[in-house]
Amino acid sequence: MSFDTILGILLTFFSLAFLIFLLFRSNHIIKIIHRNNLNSAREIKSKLHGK
Amino acid sequence: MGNNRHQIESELSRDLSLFHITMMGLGMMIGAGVFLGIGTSIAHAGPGGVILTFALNGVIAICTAMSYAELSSAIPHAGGAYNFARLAFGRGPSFTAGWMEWFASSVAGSLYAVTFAIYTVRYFQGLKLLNWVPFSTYTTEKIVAFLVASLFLYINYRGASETGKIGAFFTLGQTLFLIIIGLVGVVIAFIDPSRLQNFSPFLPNGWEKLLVTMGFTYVAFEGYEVIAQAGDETIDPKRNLPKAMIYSVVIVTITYVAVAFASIVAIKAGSPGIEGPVWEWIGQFKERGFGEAISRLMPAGNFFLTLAVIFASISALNATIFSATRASYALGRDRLLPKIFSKISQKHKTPYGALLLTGIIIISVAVLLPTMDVASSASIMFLFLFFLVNISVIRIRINMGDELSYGFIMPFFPWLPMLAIVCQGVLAVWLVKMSLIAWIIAPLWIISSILIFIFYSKKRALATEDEVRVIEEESAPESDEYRIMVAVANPNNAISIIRSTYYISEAKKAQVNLLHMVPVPYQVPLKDAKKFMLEGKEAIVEAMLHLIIKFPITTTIRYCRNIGRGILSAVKEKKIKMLIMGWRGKSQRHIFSLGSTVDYIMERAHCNVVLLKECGDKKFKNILVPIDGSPNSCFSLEIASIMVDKNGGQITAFIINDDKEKISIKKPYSPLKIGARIDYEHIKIKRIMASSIPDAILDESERHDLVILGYTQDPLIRQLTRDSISYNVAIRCRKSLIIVKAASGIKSWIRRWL
Repeated sequence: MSFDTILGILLTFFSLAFLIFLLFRSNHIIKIIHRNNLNSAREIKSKLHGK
Repeated sequence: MGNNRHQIESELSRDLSLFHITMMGLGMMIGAGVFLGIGTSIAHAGPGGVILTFALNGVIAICTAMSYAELSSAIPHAGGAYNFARLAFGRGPSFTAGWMEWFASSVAGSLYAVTFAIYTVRYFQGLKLLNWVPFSTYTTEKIVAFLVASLFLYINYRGASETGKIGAFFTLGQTLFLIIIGLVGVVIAFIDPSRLQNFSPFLPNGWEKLLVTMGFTYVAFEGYEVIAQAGDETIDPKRNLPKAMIYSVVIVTITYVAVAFASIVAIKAGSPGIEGPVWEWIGQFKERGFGEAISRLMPAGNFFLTLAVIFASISALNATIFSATRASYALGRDRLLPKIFSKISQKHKTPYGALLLTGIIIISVAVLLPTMDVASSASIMFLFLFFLVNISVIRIRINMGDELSYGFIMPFFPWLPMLAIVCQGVLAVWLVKMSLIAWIIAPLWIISSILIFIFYSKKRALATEDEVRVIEEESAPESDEYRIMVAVANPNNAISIIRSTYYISEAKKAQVNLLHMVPVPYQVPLKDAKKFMLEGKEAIVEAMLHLIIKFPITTTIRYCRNIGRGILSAVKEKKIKMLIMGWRGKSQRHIFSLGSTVDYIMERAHCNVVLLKECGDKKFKNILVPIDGSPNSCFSLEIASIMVDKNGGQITAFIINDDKEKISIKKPYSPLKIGARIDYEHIKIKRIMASSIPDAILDESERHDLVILGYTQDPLIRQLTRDSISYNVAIRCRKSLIIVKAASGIKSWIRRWL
């Protein structure tokens, strides 16, 4: 298997994995925002980072 | 507005669910692009390249989708990019954004109408069902394009719900078809693994061809704009809009990759009629390559493929009509285009004026013009739009992140929009190779928007401008004196601030401007906000009684939506050199460092800023000034020189962790430029080494009666994750405190611009 093939397959899987990760992460953020009735970006970041 | 107060107001009906708007996004994405793009991508980039093309495009698309999702959740109104640009950059750029959006979506709609017509006519001609038609194929296609565009214009006129539901039906059909193709491909590869040999060589033409195919197929990822346009008609938009955008990009990317995979494994190498590598055989058919491959993958493949293309074209047509209509409606609603654009049907609650004019563009282009070059222009303008949206999301988060009510904020901010900006810039440049005419049409359309804005829209835009309004102003004679502005918040703290200001104003021989900002909620028009004014007048009168005898004073009371922005606007207009404000000692809410208004002003003011906490009207005997050699340190020493008691008072210049003694108090630079005076006679230097700078300052402050801190500003990215030294000290300090920030010239300008 050539280097291009290995790199290409890895890139494809990483791209799809990144999409799926962002999907779940975004769903989590939306859930946190609406459950805690958060508004401003700073409030949301504070909650997400556990401050 | 006032003239129409007694008329019946019409509003868009809110009845699109998460499913509907996700399907609308998918419908706009799975248009003709993917069906035509797979064969061409295989021809250029090879079997592995086509899969990488869609996977990497998905990553770029989700970055922009994140920007759209964040902004749509905070500004969930019809208008999409137009609304975002308006908030970020003002009316001029936003008008251009809306104008581009309207044109791009309309012309994309023309392309889908023609695509539908071409495939439908060819299919029925193949069945010999059109032999009775007396026109040529070309004319027949144009007639069908006209009819299908008219039909969907009417469906859009019937209402948002019908629009969404009919579009959802077609989109579901085409998406299911593509998913079935992908699944069949995976099953076949599992049963006959030898077909995986079709992927060798993976990238026969090298990596550079990948960029070409990515640019060509990126049109298949432009769907979140239509979701943003549905903001006014979506149920629970703050939650559903971002979800729909992200879902649609993830679904199409996985579907495209699966379909591309199926196309490659559909054909067994060496089977009858297949000569040479499989990817070359598919590639020779170019845009028809996908159809040729799929017809060998499953029985009746041609029939299902034609059906899918028809579904795809009409759902994309439906979505683009919706998007273009809402874009132009938003321009009309805000009076940037004539009133006809904002007319709403009483019966169906749809913007029929905008729909009619959008329909004229779609049908004219579909029937009269060669669509490929104009469609390329639409693609370029979509890319310009996305570029603008990605910049807007960064600017809005930084400038208004604490004011807006977000339903979603993106992770990895600001890296995702920055990545999208770079990648889409490259793709836009590549489109030059595809169509030179597109690069002529696109600038012409943008120039026309600028001319229309200057000669038509600007006057109306000024008429509706309501960010800040001066309601009462008394001016002192103009002079070249040093100008100090004192922001007076309320009668309770007015006297205290003025007393503290006294020494500074006297030392600078300054002209003083007293400012009171009256915040008015967004729900109340600024012109109806006089009931909020009484408190401000009291504060100004109190302050004037203490200062007017000694200084030339001007006073201003302003209505504003946001106090921070209002104050900075006044500072700029009046060419203020120093802004003095009071600080109560802690933030009202823990999420702000020093307070929402103070944070905002400290980070963006381009004049010197002095923040006072419990300073009273006395001179101080022992003043602590932590310094680090920055302009803020120099400014701190000057303020200390003003505030120190000349009879036995002392200033301690406190230097921490400077073992090589690089920091000096006698730097020639002065941030105040005019009349800066540091009283070196009363300064002594104290150097220490400490593991925690805030703790060292706080320990030392116990032996002093006033602390003067320079406002420390970390790089932007670090600010998002940790607190500054000045914040740590200011919150815990129990002594009188002054926080200062010197104007920092170009750095401050860049910061405000960003």
